[in-house]
Amino acid sequence: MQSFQFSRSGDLQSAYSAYRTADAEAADAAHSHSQYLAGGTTLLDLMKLGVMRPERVVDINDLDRTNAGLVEFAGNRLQLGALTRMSDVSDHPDVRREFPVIAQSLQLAASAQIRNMASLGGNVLQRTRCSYFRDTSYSNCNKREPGSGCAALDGINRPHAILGTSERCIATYPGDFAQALIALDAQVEVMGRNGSRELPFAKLHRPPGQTPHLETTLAPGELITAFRITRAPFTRRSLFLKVRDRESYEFALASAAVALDLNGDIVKQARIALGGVATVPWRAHEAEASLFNRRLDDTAVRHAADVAFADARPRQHNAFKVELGKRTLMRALRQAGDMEI
Amino acid sequence: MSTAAPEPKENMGKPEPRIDGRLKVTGEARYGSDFPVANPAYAFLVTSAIAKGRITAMNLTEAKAVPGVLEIFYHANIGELKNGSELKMIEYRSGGGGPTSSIQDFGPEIKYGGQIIALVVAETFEAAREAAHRVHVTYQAEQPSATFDSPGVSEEDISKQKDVPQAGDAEAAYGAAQVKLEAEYETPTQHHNPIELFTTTCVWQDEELTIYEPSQFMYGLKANAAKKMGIDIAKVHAVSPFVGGAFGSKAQFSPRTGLVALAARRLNRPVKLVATRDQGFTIQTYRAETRQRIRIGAQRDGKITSFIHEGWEVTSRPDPYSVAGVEDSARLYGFGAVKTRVSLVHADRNTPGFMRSPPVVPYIYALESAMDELAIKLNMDPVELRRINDSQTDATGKQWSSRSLMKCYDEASERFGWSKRSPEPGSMRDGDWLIGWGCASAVYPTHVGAAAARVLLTADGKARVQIAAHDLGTGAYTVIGQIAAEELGIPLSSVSVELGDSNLPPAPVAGGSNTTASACSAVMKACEAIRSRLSAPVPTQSDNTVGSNTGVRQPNLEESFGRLGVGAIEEYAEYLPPGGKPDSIKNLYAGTPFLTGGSKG
Repeated sequence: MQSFQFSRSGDLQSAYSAYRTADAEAADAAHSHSQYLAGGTTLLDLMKLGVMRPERVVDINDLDRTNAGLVEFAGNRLQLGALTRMSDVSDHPDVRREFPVIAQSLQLAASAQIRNMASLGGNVLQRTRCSYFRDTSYSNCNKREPGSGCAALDGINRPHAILGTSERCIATYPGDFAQALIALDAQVEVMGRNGSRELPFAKLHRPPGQTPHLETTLAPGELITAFRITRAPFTRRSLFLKVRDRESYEFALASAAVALDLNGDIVKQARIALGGVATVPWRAHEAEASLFNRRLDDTAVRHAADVAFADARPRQHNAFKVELGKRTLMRALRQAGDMEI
Repeated sequence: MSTAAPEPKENMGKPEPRIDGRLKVTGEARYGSDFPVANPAYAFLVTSAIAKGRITAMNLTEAKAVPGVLEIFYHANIGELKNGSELKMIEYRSGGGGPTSSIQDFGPEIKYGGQIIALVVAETFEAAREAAHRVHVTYQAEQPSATFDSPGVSEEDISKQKDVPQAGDAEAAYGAAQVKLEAEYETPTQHHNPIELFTTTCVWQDEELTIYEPSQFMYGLKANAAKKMGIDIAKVHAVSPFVGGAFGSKAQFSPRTGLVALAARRLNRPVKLVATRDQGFTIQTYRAETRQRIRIGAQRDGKITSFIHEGWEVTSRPDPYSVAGVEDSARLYGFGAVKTRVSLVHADRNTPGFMRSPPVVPYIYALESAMDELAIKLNMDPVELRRINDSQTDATGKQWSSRSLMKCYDEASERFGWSKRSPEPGSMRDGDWLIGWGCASAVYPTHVGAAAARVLLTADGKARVQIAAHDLGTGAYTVIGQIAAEELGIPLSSVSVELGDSNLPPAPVAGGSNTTASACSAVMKACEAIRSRLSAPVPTQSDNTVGSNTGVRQPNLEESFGRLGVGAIEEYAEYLPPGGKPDSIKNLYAGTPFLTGGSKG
């Protein structure tokens, strides 16, 4: 990897300043010369591959001694510090009991070693696994080199997205946890130049559109500090279902984060997010609406799945994801309906 | 000893902790890239981003500017591989023991995706990697013909060369059969990319080359490296005491080894290469995809009168690598008549290679799937169909050396409660899950090869066993130690075992599951010779367990050594299996193993 400057910061202000010193001119996060380092499970890999080439790396692991390192459940609100590790949260008894979809999305991801290292903030910002993005011997990747084209469009695109794609990029958003957050209407706390701000998690990621190199709405140097989730009638009846080529240490081909509030078998509220099939954490609002006030039977579940994938745009090798994604969602909804809470 | 270990069965070893287990779990076991060498330079491979075409330019300016880069080796400064050049071509051998492929050059022609095209050498691994990412290659790409049905692949029927089994008039018998089944099957490409990455470290000293590299065949690595570098075989020393998994991928000689040896010689310093996980998928061999067509003719009572099995296997353009598993499928049951055919499909690919039961896995999968489909067609229990066709001889009249298939099925049926099986799809449940029960037969040929070993017994009752066999994680160290302990009548803890070094007496390639039979036979012979020199009483055994010292009478070593007036006895022994020729061991020293067994044995 190329040489870089390294510093370590134990408080938010100095972390932000250190990041911006190498980076004062950057117009957007994609042109930033700095990177924050937490668990390193994405950044270090991509630096070794020559895909990410920061000039300055700011280690923020010491922030875990601040509020960013805490998990708190008080009143109806769960606050997850951005520096908490995936394994701490997936094993947390309050999270497991009250928000099973969150615990499961973390538990099913990566390997035990990675879950022990990876922070929640880094987790939601992990980069795509598109092999054309990760292999610099392919010169055409709009995400890596804006305007260079997309080798995946007509390449081996079996793992690629069918929802939220553009003619510039079909790379799949790889994470699991983000689907749980978006399904539960989580909020994100962000620290930047003007102190902290809060935004809906659904506003954090940007669909590729014409600018696939811009993956989030974060300004250069802005740092996620916490996620907030509010307990709701549907949060206990929630689950994460992940379908993949092998049952461990693998990314999703299709996943579904679902949460239901039922009155008997009538759906009062449904929350659905889809993973492994979309370019960003994907909320299926129309599918949710289709279930409203309906009996959760096979017809309703099948209809919801059809609605969720109505706009799917498969390519040569990933057409199977339409049916797989539907079946994954159908099974998730049925299982959630059968949960004893 | 582990309390979880099972009781030894008849003719099986006593459960002992692996003698190398502690080394491995404490990280002290030295794998190829762990060996310390003086002042090493670090190498990183550049591989082709296209699958067919030509390199038209390689811009190295940016790469060479990375601090610490020593040299970049590529086609322009390596030159063509021919007689008199620094790197020679080695002739491909489809039976193994040679190079992984006839494709041994590093460009400018690109013959498969991920072909090695350059080796960057630098003061650090990080600098080499960074420079490798800064090598800019311009290609003139062509459309590759990579697999079945690609326009431009060529098909070659190799049934005659492989002498695949034929018996009776299978076509006529199929035509006349009461029940006919025709089915086609495919198996995918599979990669043997084991935990231990593909590594090579080369050190030249006084015109001698030492290679540290994970290997399944020390003498093959030694002999092929000598050919590749054009030097005397005596000038090569190959070292590989531990191998972190191989599965066939480390049995043949890889082009990377010559490239690293060349770099080490030109730079006059040790060079260490650790290929990446990704590169391991293209720079080594793999199990190629197959297509198969099976036709079975049967009587209504289930007796099979005709078995016709045809296979197509993908390989590289130049090499006739094939697995031809009809050799096994045609013999698994007492088919009335047999016709088999195997064809290669030459494509723009690296040459495939031996991977975990190369012939058996794809071909028996197809046969057993067809047997199940036939059982459905006959409305017959699939175990009963196999029973009706069970036979101690195959259609060619060849006898099985051992066969307990129906005994296995009957015991399994009993334990499983097979009689409770319902064949109707969706009719069996386990909680929320719909389940189904099925059965399949498996077969594997037994192999044994020529081997040599040296055993030293000292008067203090300690033994040292030396053989260039290979422990790929299989437990070879322990079982070889157990054999020596039992034969010499000393505890296992008094035996040290040395493997994986070409300075030791040769063992065959660790392939085809032959190591225990071959290496232990040579070790036994050496131990017998020591015993007879000691004139010790022959051990008497109270049971058949191998490696158990119970019942072995301890020779009185003190008395024997005292009588002989020596401090140690060393014996070298050669083992030649049935069918071995007098020059088998001589050839083994030169890198050509002799293996026998299976249907040809």
